[in-house]
Amino acid sequence: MKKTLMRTITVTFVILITYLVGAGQTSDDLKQRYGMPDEKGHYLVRPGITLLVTNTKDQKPSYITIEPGDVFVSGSHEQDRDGSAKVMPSNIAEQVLEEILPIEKRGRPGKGGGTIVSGCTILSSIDYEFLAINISKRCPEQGAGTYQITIHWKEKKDFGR
Amino acid sequence: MKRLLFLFAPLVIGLFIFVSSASASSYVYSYSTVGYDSGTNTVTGYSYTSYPYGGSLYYQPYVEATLYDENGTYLADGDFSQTQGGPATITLQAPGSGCQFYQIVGWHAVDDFYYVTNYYMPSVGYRNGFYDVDYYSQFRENPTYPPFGESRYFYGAGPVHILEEEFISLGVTESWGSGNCNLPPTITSISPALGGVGSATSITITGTGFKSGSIEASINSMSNITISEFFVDSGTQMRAKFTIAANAGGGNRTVAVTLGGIPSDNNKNFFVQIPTSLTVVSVTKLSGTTNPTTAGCWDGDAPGDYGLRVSVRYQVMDQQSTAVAITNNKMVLQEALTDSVINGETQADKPLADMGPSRITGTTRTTNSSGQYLDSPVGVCNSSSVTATLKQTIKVLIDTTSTIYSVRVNSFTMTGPAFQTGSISNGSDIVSSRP
Repeated sequence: MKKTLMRTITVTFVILITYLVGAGQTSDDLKQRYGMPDEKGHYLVRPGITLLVTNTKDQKPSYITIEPGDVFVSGSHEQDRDGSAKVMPSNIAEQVLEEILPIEKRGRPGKGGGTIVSGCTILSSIDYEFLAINISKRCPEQGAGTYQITIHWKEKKDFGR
Repeated sequence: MKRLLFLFAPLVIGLFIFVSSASASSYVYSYSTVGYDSGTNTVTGYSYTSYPYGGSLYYQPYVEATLYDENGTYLADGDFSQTQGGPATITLQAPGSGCQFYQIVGWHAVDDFYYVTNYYMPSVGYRNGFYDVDYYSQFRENPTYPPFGESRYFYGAGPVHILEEEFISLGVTESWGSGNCNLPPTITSISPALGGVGSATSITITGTGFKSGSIEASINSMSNITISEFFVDSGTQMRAKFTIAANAGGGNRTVAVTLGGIPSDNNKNFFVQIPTSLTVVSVTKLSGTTNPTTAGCWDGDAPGDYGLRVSVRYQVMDQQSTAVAITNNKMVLQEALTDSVINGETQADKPLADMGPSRITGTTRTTNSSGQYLDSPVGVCNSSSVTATLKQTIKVLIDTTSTIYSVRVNSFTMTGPAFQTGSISNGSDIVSSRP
């Protein structure tokens, strides 16, 4: 009983330390890799593609969002209202995902996840041990592309670097 | 405005006729008039009078008039030739009643250089002044008109243009009866009596008192509706195309017609339909649940068969309290997805965008000609147990415009608890499950 408790405390401590260090590294790494973010925190990771880190109330990262847009351009993340919602080339978006969160850093595949389909839209959630990757895509019949990718940390966890 | 409705045209030749003293040859002329009978269920006769004038010697040529109805069908004819000074009168009896439309075609053969005759147009029962008379004389150019009220001599070759007023000034009578033809047209019905915004609808107006032929006819203007391809087919039917602007307001428009300057004595409503709701026509289960091509699942899904997707066929309905289908093939259905959760994982909202075409065969961007739309697929798929929720907000975009109407919100609950099982429900009219 005592052993188990000690092991749990140790694992939690290691995770916490790793997370705190990892978060700092990631923030620095993102700046180093993509330059300074704009005032809203968007990094320009590819032309027309931005990355946003969203922290929890206690300033711990809980989401990373990859979506079409620009930095320092007001309204660039707003979707068009004429039925032609903005998308990213799916291969580029997934390249960015791999860049910031290589598959080996995602943990073991989880049992959650699934796909919602509605018309031409595909919403997929890919489950891992400590995080989920949520991807919304447009079907090829309307030109394909990815609306958005989000990485959601279910728990405190280093997200990559 | 006057209209030229007298047609003089040389016709066939040489008819018999009365032979004047020095007649060497004969000529046949024709003319036609259009007008209304003057009766209101009482007077149906046309009195047609010929006034021959001449010098010391004249001979009235052969003159005949034929009455046709508005469709050019023969009704009656009469000969008002005479051998001595006029006037001669015939009455052509129109079989119809009421304010109807007929035309008289007169034929007269003239003979010799002394021939002079005038043919007078209606002065009673005639309305809106569209009669001109073209008189073609065969003898001399540039004839000299006599003063009003006097006999006319025409020695010249035509055409000589004689205005209606001149006849009236001469006090000539050609009676169209004593009735009143200023009866307004009446609209009985409009079919169809509705049309969707952004659509073009061919409509038929039926009624009474319509007139075809040389008469001004019109439909009153209506806001945001362009009228084209307007035809008066008969005394009881008109056709027109109503093109309704995409941004037109919904509701009734007043349709009235005007013929020959006389407005209809009533009007009918034409209802502009606004997309307001979608009704479910059918819900069909899809097979091959994780096949991305046939089921619409993501290519990255692991093989599996949990969950259920369906094809939902909708009908776009209008804003009436008892909603009526809008039959317009230019409606684009769009959807926004919110509140999406897959196995507890909240998904990003998907902005408003076209619902189709999708990966399912038979889906399109726009409604079909019946105003129906196939939304497919809708549901969830996975390689293991799954539950999901989805809020689908559907709007209708009219063609290529920016006018958008909210028509439906589906809050779906979807499950796939075990292999080859699944369900989808919006809690009302879209409910399906398997096995």
